[in-house]
Amino acid sequence: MGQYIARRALVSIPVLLIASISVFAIVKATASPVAAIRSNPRVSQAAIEKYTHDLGLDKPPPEQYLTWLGNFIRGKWGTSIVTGRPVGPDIRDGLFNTMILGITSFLVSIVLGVGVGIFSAVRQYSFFDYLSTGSAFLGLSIPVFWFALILQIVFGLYLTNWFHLATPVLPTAGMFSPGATGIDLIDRIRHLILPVTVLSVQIVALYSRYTRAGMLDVLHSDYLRTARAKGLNERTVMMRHAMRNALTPLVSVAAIDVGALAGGLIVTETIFSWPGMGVLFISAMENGDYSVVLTWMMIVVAFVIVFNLIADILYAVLDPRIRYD
Amino acid sequence: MTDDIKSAHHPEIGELEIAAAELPDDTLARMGLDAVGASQWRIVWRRLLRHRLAIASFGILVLLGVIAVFANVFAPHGYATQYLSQQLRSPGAGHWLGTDTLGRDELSRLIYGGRISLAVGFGVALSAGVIGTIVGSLAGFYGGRLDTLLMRVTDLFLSIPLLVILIVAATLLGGSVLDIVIVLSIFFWMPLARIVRGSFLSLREKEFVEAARSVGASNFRIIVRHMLPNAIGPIIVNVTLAVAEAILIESVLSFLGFGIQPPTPTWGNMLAESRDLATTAPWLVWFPGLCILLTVLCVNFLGDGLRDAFDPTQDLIKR
Amino acid sequence: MRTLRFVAVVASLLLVAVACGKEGGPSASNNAVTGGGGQNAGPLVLGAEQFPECLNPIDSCANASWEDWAVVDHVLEKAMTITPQGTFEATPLLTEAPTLANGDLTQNPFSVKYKINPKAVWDDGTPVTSKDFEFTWQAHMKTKGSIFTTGYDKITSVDTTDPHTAIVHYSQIYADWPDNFGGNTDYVLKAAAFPKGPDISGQVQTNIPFSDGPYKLTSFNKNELVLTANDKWWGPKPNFSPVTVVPRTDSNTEVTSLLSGEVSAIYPQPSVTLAQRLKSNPKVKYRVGGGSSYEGVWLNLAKAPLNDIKVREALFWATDREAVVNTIIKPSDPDAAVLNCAGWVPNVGPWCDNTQFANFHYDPNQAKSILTADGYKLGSDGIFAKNGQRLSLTFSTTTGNKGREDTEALLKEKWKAAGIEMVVKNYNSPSPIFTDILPKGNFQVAEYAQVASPDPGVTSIYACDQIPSAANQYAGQNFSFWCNQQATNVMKQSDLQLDPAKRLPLIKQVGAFVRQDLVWLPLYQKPLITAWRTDKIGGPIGAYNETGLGGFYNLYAWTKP
Repeated sequence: MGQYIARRALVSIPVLLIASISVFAIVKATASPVAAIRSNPRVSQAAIEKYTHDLGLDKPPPEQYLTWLGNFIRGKWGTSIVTGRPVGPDIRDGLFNTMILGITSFLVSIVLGVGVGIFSAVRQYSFFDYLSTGSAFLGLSIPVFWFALILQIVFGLYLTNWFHLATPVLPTAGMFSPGATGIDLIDRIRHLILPVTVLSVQIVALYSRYTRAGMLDVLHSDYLRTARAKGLNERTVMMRHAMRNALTPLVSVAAIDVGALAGGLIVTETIFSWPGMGVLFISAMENGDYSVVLTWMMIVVAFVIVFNLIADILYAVLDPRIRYD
Repeated sequence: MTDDIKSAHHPEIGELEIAAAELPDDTLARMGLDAVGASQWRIVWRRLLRHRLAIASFGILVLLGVIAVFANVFAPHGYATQYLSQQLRSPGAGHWLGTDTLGRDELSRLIYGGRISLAVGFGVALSAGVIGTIVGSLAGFYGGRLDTLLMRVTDLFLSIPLLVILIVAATLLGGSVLDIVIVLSIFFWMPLARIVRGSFLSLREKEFVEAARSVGASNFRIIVRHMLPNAIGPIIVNVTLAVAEAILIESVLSFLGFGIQPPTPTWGNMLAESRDLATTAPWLVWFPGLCILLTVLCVNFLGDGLRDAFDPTQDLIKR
Repeated sequence: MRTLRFVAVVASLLLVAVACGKEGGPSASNNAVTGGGGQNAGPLVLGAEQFPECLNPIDSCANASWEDWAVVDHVLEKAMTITPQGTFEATPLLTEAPTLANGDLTQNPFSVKYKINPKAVWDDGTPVTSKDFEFTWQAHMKTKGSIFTTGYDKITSVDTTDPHTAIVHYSQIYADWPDNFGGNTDYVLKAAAFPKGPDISGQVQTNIPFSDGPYKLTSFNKNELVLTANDKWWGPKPNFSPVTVVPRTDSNTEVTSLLSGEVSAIYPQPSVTLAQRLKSNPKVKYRVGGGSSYEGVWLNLAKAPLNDIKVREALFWATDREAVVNTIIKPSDPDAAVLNCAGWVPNVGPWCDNTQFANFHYDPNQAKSILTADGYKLGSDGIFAKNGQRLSLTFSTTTGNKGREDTEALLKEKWKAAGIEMVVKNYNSPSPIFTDILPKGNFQVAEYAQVASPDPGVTSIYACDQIPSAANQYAGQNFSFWCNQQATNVMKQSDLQLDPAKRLPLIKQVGAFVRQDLVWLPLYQKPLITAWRTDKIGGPIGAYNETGLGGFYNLYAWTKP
């Protein structure tokens, strides 16, 4: 196992390198840190030239890339070339905020998704099964930002007006109430509800489908029949055998998804003014700030690779077919 | 799952079922291996017909497709025709679905927009399907170094969040219909490539492939005539679902400002550019959203029906 | 959908309790009256459409208007500022404005004498002195990545002999002197805050730890920034404190937050139904007016066929400016009108001659006859052509701007009626449109805005030597590629003229040249909107709505209802 992990990690290095070079080339080709000040009439020609020179943007691109890479490898993430903000803390904070949103959504979704999935598999073709299947398809098909918009309007405006409230039923943006001091748990939860709902609708839909399919597969399998035939009671059969086997694929899928969270929940974060990784990426990209975009990309890709690895390991550990063979 | 989580390149439901089964042995055998040829299609079609929801969805999609193709027949007005005195009319006589900020007929714009949105959906699904099938079958058939190389490339593409790489690429290319189709196609083929490779890896060892080889059939012929037909089920299912995916992702790109640019109407950009009007001109937000929802829902139902139809074990289960 | 509604109802029932429970919180502090001159109106929350990413007031952070609007305007004092009428006046930092009349401006050699208010102090109680002026000049010149060097590069020395008098010596006359140490974007910095010397790069990116304005910045992160009253400020004490500014970068969320009461004031980019949306809530009021930026149809004079003045004239007749204003601007600003001055706006100083383009109105037949006289023939496709070249023009603007996209769509139909084809080709802003497309002349027609500052100089956008070229690394901003030597001479002459009365005829002459050569076609003044909740704010909010200083500028003077 150790060897396997080491090999995978080594393979990732060229992946990271190629990814960073191509992203650097694209960012260079599409956005320039000088663009914004160029459109400002208060900034003179001379100032633009000085600025370009001060930022090292007049150096050949390969040199700019290598400078960044050298610093990155040595752990010196430095400051953003555009905003002068330290890159490391910004990414750390963004990651933290995204994870608050993402992990909450995952916990909610796994509980709901697995519950709904198992129940509909056990009661296949029941009313509940049809309802949950239909809802799942709806959840998979709804455009996220449209759904978010509707929720904002309903909970922020319509219901608030309906009940003649002074403050909205649910806050429509932000991580906590403006100007709040300390951590008010209820306030935080209220701010989480709408974005988590938007995200969870998709994840619940997907996970309930996985769970249902997995359960059905197992329920109709020979070994479950064998287990039953051995005279084990239904509860043991379900818990020990059916669920375990049915959920194995879901575990690795979830691990992959958690890794992908690092990439930010761009749409949800944008709509709900949630200062996470997605918002950080979009603004850096618009600024042509390759120092941030590249570092961001490395962290995100590393996350994806690590969690994919975890998914593989979990799969190997959990799947009885692999273990017993 | 378009925002966000989708960027994980999360396997499709179908893929996962297959991927899970791919490890041991039996699923591929179930994929209709023993029923190659015309009769397979008849069986699939008969099974699909029993899936009423899928058939209804298929019907709706065909209808939408016909309306889109013959947009100039069905649309009561031109999509760019402006009635400046009739700005932001709510739905009613004359303009059944209202008018937009320039007094353009919303129904006509939805019909023409549907043409673009559907074209993007199908265009992306087909071209990504072709790329994915080629990469997957080459990797699966030849194995060895070629396989390693192709799968490394696939991994590389998969390791960057989908939405992020799409934004980056769309910024580079631009916002015409073709640009967006290209951008999406380039980053949509990886899941299918993995599935096809998986199928081919196990098909490679089957007797009928050995048999074809022994009579001197060329590699190309073996791939195209013998192996591909046996892997066609998951390919069709995956390509179908990719249509839905592409339509959704285009709307998300539009929302973020990186999609197909106006004045070319698509459901995605019509919805995105009307989002400030959600309370003042709600019809401009509801109708494009519902069009996307309906289409994607139908595609997903159809994909589900196809998956069941291609999977013989479903018969067992249903009885 | 049914499930959705169900969930909605349940969730709302659960949360009504929570919402009601929170009512008393912030308003309770209204009763507590503390010292100072302010009425202590308590906390206030503002929404920022573009949240500042960093705070350095002289590097590229300062390029973002929202950095000034949300933070620096309230924390640092300028020497000269802008009035709602778009002229310059002294801030409380000075005892009076330097003028030729009081002898504080000298022409030859050119110098500006700032008389600093003896009451002016930093928040640690130390006085603001002429050393701070000298340091500010040095910082602008020596900071790595500083972007505002214009004017400062003409300063030869700052006389600091008297701590309360800063005499700034320039090497030549610089008519726009009020934009140094003040104006739209600049401030006086505190020398003692930067012991490492005048290169202040990287030092005030995430905090401005000093203040001589009405507020101090007490917190700045990606979620919000907090301003609290600076009790050392010598001017009238601000009423609202603390003021929290939160990002609302999605335009729809921004308005929703105001309507729902989560924020109390916003300064949004107007969209076509914004006014209608704001009116939907009786507790929301807004002020709208044409601002200092003006939108126009700009042409690339270097490229065929627009190098032909007849084609330009025909295009102007084919452009229905009235319809653009009526359809896109008037829904939010009913008083809006077509703009006709060649580079200025009516509410910023006396410089705009609003008759210059007034004769152009929509007349497709006029356009057609001009083109026909110019040798163009109407093709069977309804588009003019000359020597086999169809009159098809690309029209570029910034992506994601609904108003501009609608303008394109509208004009496309209007041009078509005059036999001119429009091909829309939009680009991301700021790059590539301001880096590759406009400076490198890769466009034919473009729609974008210019800003009219109180200083009427237009040299940077009209002069021959400002045409972008490889020689100036494409940093020139004369994107029209218009070179009229005579006009350029007048512009340079006007930049050396300190007396506004003598400057006016020169400026009008420049405008006349622009009109004569048909360089561009003005469309409208971009309307600006400040919207606020009347249950939270009374006071003179919005007084600066139409200036470059933005709707929040006089935050310190706002009162409770």
